[in-house]
Amino acid sequence: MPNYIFWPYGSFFENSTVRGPRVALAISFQKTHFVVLGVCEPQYLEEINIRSPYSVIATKDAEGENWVYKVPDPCNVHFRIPKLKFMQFYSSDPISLIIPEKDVGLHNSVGETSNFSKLEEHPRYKSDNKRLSETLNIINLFPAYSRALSELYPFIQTSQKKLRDTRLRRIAAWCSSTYFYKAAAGISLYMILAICSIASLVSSLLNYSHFQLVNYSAFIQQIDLRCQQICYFPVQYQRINKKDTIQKVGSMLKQENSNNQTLNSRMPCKFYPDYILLYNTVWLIINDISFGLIFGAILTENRDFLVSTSHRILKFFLYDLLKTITIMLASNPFGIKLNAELANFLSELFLWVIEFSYSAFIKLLIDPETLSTLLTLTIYMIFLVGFSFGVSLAIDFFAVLSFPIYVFYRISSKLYHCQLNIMASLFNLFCGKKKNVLRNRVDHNYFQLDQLLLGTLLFIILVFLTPTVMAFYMSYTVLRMLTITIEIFSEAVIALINHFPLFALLLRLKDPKRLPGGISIDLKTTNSNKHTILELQNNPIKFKSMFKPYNLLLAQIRANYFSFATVRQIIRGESIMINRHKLYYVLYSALPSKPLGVRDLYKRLTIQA
Amino acid sequence: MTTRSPWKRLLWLKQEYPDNYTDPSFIDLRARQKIDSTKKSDRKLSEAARSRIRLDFISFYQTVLNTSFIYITFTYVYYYGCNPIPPTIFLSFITLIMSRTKVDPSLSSFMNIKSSLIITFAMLTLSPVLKSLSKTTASDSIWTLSFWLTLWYVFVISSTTSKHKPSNLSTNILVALVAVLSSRLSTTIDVFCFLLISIQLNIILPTYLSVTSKVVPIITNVIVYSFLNVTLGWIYMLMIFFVSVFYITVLPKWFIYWKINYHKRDNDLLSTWDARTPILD
Repeated sequence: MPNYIFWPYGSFFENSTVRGPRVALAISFQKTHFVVLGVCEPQYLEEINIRSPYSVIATKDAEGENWVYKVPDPCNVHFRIPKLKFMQFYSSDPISLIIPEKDVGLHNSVGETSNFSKLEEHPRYKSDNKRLSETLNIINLFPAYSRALSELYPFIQTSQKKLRDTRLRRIAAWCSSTYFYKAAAGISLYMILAICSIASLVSSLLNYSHFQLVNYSAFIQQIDLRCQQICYFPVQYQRINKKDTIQKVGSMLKQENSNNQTLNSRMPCKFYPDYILLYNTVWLIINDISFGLIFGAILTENRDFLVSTSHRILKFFLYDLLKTITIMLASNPFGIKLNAELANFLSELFLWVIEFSYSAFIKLLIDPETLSTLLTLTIYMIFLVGFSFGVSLAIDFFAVLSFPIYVFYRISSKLYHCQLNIMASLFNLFCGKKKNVLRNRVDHNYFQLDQLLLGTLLFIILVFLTPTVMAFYMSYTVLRMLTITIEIFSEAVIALINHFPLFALLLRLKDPKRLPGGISIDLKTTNSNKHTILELQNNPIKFKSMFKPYNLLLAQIRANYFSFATVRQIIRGESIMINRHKLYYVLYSALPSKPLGVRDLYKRLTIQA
Repeated sequence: MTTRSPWKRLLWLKQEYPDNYTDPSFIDLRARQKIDSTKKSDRKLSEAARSRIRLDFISFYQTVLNTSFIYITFTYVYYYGCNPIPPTIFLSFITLIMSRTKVDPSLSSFMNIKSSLIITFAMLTLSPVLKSLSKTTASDSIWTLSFWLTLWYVFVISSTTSKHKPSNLSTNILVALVAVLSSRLSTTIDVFCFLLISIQLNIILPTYLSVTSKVVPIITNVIVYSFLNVTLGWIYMLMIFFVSVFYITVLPKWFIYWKINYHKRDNDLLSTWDARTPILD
């Protein structure tokens, strides 16, 4: 296996204009490749003994063009120094835009079986590139390492640039020492604490384990999401502002027992996803509010038209249409002759429910005046807190209005389901068989005459009544599926507003190196007399993986509502429900499952201060 | 040396014989068949077998006649609009008497006072529902349905081995057939009476009547043919009569001839050397 030597690309090392003998110094730990940090002239090194992580890797004569390596079988890999200031870094695995604790749950949610993931995690099938990733860690902190080297041996020429903004720093330091600054910092700390505690209280109230309000209303879910985001802001901010990391690398290297493990956990690139997530959330909230302003203005302009149209549409769909369908079902729909008695009974029952619900609350709710007041309130709210709140309120309003449809659906599905079950067991009786519960199979059984007679008569009656019940069930199921579709698609709009990876997308356009999706190593030159030179390159993250939560969400929606499994469920008469919490769990991937407590938050913030 | 246990024709048994072992009895059978095929005199069925075949043909004919009683009753109530109460009372009386005189432990479990009460009340309760069940369905579809149910019923009841107790399935098909037909009737009393008559005639009474008795078939025949005469006219009645006479007298002979000349040889081999239906219970 060749010894890989990582050279910074395009710097003084390769095409040095300075003629003369040179010595290249590299750093390497036990489990890494060599990374060249700096060069110097050989006479400096005559009286100095180079210490363990550093070593002389190659030398060049005064006339010589090529480096002569001290290790056997060298192989050069060139890389561009990642700019730490611009948050560029190399990574062998794609950057995760999902916080790690949620990542586990996301994988298991759809599609993959646990056995397959077990197989995947088995060390035999994993590529063993630990050494490479450790080296990448050194490369990511290249400036820090080279500064540490130059502090140790000042004569060594490194690629380190001077820190320029010293004056600015001085002003900032002076500012932070004033009493005014301290007072302002203290006040804002307590304000943040107060806001976060309120937000976490609200969120925990809404998620109260015995009665999860979040499951019942889109609006409450939206409030909960915003609260959780607010709770998580300070944590994220504190995490991404750990400035001490880079400085610490140098001091740690000076200690003899420099440990790779502790270094790894303090890699600054560990917190870049947090940075992206935080600014993404902030941007989305601002976007949401600006959408709210735009739509609020549009709604205000077309208020009267909207109120009258929505009144007409709602009245037509929730009262007239329902009534027409129910009456039609009672009078031989499409020439299908249903059982008149049962059809009349069911239709009268449903008509009664329609009339009752209409006079009880629907009439009041879709009254133009109520609609207008509601719209005004919604517009104010949209102006204040964002468009998504308005949409979620509309969803809730629609859910309340479509409650009668839900009731019809439940009633007819219960009837249908019961009838189907009874018919299945009576069919066994018809064939002279009986289900053996102990062995879970169907056995022969000799029935009494009265049992046979009663069972068969009931079976025949149920068979004749099935088309009637099925007609009611199917028509209400279609209506129910329509309302579910409307609700789900408006919730998808909210999900898009709340969780669109806007910041990440723009970052990807602006500087792909900040969103690494792995590395590739290409062959650069093939000069026969020279050593092989490879080039380390950053692959930007794929767009598909940025939208992974959405793909999962879509897959889940498809599996739950638009698949053969759903058709089977409908045919069996099992009820189809919206389980909001389960469905949108995927989209909470940028938030921890439990908001941080106020006490912990206080500790974190005060330690940093 | 221990003697080997005799070979058994059972797959699941582990035996001390090679896989390609051929039992001598099989070879014997083949040899005997070869000799038989050359001799003409041996091509005969025993008198018992012949009479059994004739009996089977007659009992199938009897089954068809019994089944036709459902249609006779139905026509009586539906087509002629006659009052079904007197025949119901008469039949119930007969059933009562017969259940008194014949005390059979296996039958008493099948039919006792409790079940007869339950049956009666269930039919009383369900008659109004049955009456309106297929009001919106066309009559033709009901006739078609009842035709197929009848075929199924005749098939099932004639293929059951036990003559003493009707099988569950055949009873159920009969009840289904009767229920489907009764949904055409107009009043609740008609429905109830029709159900009761059909069940008594086809389920309860056949279990009380002995198979060998000569009186019952004669009565049945007389009733059926006189009814056919009234309903379809004497030409159709005679045609049906001749067809059934042909069926009873000529067909068994043809069948026996076929059995001797074409069926016997294959059947001998297959019946001893092939388990035709797997025995699951």
